[in-house]
Amino acid sequence: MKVELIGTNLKWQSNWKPNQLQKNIIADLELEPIIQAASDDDQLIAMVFLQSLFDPIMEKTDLADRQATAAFFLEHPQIVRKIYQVVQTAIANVKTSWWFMGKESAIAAFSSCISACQLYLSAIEQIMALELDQFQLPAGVLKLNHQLKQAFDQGKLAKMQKLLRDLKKSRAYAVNSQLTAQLDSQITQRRFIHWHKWLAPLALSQRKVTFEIPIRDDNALNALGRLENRATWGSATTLLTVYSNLKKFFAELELQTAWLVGLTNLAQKLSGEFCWPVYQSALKTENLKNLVLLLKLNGKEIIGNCIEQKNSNVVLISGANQGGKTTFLRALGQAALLAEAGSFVCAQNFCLKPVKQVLTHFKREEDQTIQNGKLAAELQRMADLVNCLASSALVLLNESFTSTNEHEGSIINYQITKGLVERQVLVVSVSFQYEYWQLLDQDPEIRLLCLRAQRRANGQRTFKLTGKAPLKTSFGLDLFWQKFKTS
Amino acid sequence: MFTSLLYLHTKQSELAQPTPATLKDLQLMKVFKAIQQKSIQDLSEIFKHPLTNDSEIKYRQAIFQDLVRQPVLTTVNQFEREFLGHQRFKAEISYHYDGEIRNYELLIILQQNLKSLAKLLKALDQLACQSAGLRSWCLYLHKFFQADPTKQLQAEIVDLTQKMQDLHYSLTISGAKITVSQKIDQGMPLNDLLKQSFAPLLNSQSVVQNDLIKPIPQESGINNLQVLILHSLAKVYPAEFRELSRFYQEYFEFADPVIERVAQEFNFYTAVIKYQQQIRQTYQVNFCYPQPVTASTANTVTASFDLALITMAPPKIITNDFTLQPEENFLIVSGPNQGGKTTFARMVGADYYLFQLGMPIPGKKAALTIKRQILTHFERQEKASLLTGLLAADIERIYQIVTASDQQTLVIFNELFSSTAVVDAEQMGTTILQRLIKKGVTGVYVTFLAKLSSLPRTVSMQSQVSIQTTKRTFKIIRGQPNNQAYAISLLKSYHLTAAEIKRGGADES
Repeated sequence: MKVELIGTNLKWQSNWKPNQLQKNIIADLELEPIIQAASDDDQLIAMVFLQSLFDPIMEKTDLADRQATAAFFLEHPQIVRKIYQVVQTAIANVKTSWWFMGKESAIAAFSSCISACQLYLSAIEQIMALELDQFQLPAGVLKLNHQLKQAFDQGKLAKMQKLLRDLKKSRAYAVNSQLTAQLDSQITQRRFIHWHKWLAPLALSQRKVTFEIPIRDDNALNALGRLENRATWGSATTLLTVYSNLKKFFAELELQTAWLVGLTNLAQKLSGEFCWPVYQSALKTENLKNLVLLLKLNGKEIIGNCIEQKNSNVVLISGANQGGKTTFLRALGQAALLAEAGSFVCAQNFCLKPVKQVLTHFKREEDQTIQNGKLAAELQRMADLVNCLASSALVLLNESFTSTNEHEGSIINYQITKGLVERQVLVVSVSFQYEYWQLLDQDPEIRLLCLRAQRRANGQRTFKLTGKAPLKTSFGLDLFWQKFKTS
Repeated sequence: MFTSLLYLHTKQSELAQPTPATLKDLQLMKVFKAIQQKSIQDLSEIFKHPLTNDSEIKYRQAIFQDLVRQPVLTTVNQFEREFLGHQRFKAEISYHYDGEIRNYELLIILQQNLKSLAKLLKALDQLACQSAGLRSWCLYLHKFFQADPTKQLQAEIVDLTQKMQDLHYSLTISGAKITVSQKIDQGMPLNDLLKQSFAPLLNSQSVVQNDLIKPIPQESGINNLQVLILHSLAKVYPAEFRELSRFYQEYFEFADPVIERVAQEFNFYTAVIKYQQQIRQTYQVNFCYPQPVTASTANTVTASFDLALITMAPPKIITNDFTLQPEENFLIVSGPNQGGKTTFARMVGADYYLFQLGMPIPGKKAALTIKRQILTHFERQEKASLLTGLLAADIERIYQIVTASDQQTLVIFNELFSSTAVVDAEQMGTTILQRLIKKGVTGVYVTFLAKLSSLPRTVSMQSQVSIQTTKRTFKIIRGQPNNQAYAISLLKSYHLTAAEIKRGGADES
């Protein structure tokens, strides 16, 4: 039974950890506060939610399916919370009751499996009691409901539970046997004796002898243990299979409901300004807002930004310092990651062409401390990024290669940007480098979209990006003067 | 009439009796211990009694040559594992308290023994053995299997085994309480029940944990539980078990003395072969079967080495050759200390001794003469403080050796009289050698006295040192003594040559 609540063929791991590149992206795009808001300190949810951001959905229909499931549970958060809680409790209880460790003892596996399966089955009973039938179900939930019914409805669950109860109650069993050439008993697999029947005497015509192994006869007791292991091996293997299928089912269900609970948590903290993204051939968004800012400012007015890629392949953002460039770049990265994970995004609308990766190369303070030299470190990070580049990607560059002079930095930036474009990457670059813009502008292969942070005559920023070419001066100076003049 | 794989005709009393000193000096006990470790049978009596005529030695050598062929060896090794000798199985069976077990055990062992004998015979027939020993053994076995008592036994075993294996019974187990009954097919196989009830949860393909419990192998042999089960089973099926008891009464003492003996004797051969193969593989060296020759032919061994040294597990082995022409009586071995002289002397003695056990000896090729006795005297230098008493004892011992020696004696002397004055030692050595040579004795004489090698009918051999370094090569070759080269190089290694002392003095002043 494969859980396909929010997608077919999900490969999410319960022990996932971000690699170095992903850690860079998490830091660059300020994903931590978002994860924090979604998880409410539930580590599993945090891990799953983060993992989902690095496992993009590439197909339109898959995206629509996940969005439908997500939308359903945003409407009925109590249902998904209940399932998540039941599943988690079952898993935790199985963990504490599980004492089968090795590969040797079939008996140990057998009794561990009985207890574990009982716990799992009772959780399934609780989930089925939610009666999902009463709702208009999206495809993913419908499928789960159908799976459960097919496997457990019409008394099947009760029958399984009864058998497990009986096995727990009565440890007596029979085996048939024959003497081997080596004088040992060649036994068959164990036969089930219902505990009612165990009390009944054998037929009178049967010759039989009963003995009890003396308590101190360790050799015989050990031999009995081995005989029981042999007799139980087949049943234990079957039960292990059952257990392992249930375990897998619950593990998948846990991960997938964790993601959904995370999304409902996140939605509750935002006052409704979101849309469901759409896959189209080019990036286009209106009133896109930085999610972290939204969470932090808690409902205060935040300026959204628009962008329309059309047929361009490089977006160059320039303009005043503290003009909202980095905030916008982050908002774009966050939205792209969330969109591809099947989440809502905070914008009026959001269209994008699905990419396998969203990668970042941000100017780093810590680069300065590296002894190799800051530029070397920057280049190394870029090399690592290029090394793992997939067939489609969105690369966000934030003031890259400013650790050297402008001329050199521009050429580096240009070369890299051009290379990335040739790898079918959409590059969004924040940079003051005027020469970089010139080089991009003159290149016939590059279709450049320029955005500039607005600055009014009085130096006040509007935090709006407009489609204009960069100015030669950066506005750092006026920040400087602002500081020095007013003081 | 075939009776043994070890002796063609000889009786135990006709064998040689080496002196304890010989075995000790040649350090052969170490070697025999290493071989013994590869055998279940006690081989010490065989090792202590060298053979005294060519045909006996050839009898063993031929058997060895058959047995080293891998298919033959594999067959025999398997036979050794499977066949249980009469004394051993009697002890094993008596160990059991319960009658049912004893009876059944005997059935199994006799069945197993007959099977392993038949298997051995079939294999040996197919493998076309050349040695007289193994061929006679095969003939003997053929006769054994054609004899009526054997046929009768085989038939009974087949019949009884079948009857026992046809017993079907059920065990009903509840805790430590077990009921043994005639087969009743109580209840349903649990696994079927599980598969049926949990069918919806079993159709998935992706089960990794499935291999979590390893299949549990069927046990063999007896444990207390099985004893209890058999005990009960005897009551459930009394007639069959009565028959088993009768079989026990009839066949408990069933054993063929020659088969019993040969089954044990195989051990000597396989242990030696195992030992020898192990050394071969570790050191990339050879073993060979010396050709027995008369005293008028040269005795020679090429690329031999000392097995006692191997027991110390050295990193590598240096091989040495030796030859004694008919006109040569003694090898006079001299050269630097720690140069391998003693090892060489031991090697020569061991080669003769092992040859007379019919064993393969270390070396590529060899021709040796049978010696009636091997006499040795190795001086123990560490006891030099007990000089007077010791010297007297030494002289007494040497005198006995000289007296007891004859043409068929091999004498090995190691560093006699090293603690006496050189002039005295030379005189004593010369006298002893002259006496021995006069008696036609052959041997090895290890000494620091270069002068001894100038005697007639002696050959000088030298332990070698590479000239520039002081490194010993442990090669002993024929040549006149030249102690200078070694001394200089040794001094150099301590910076004690005249020139160096002079220079050192200059430095200090």
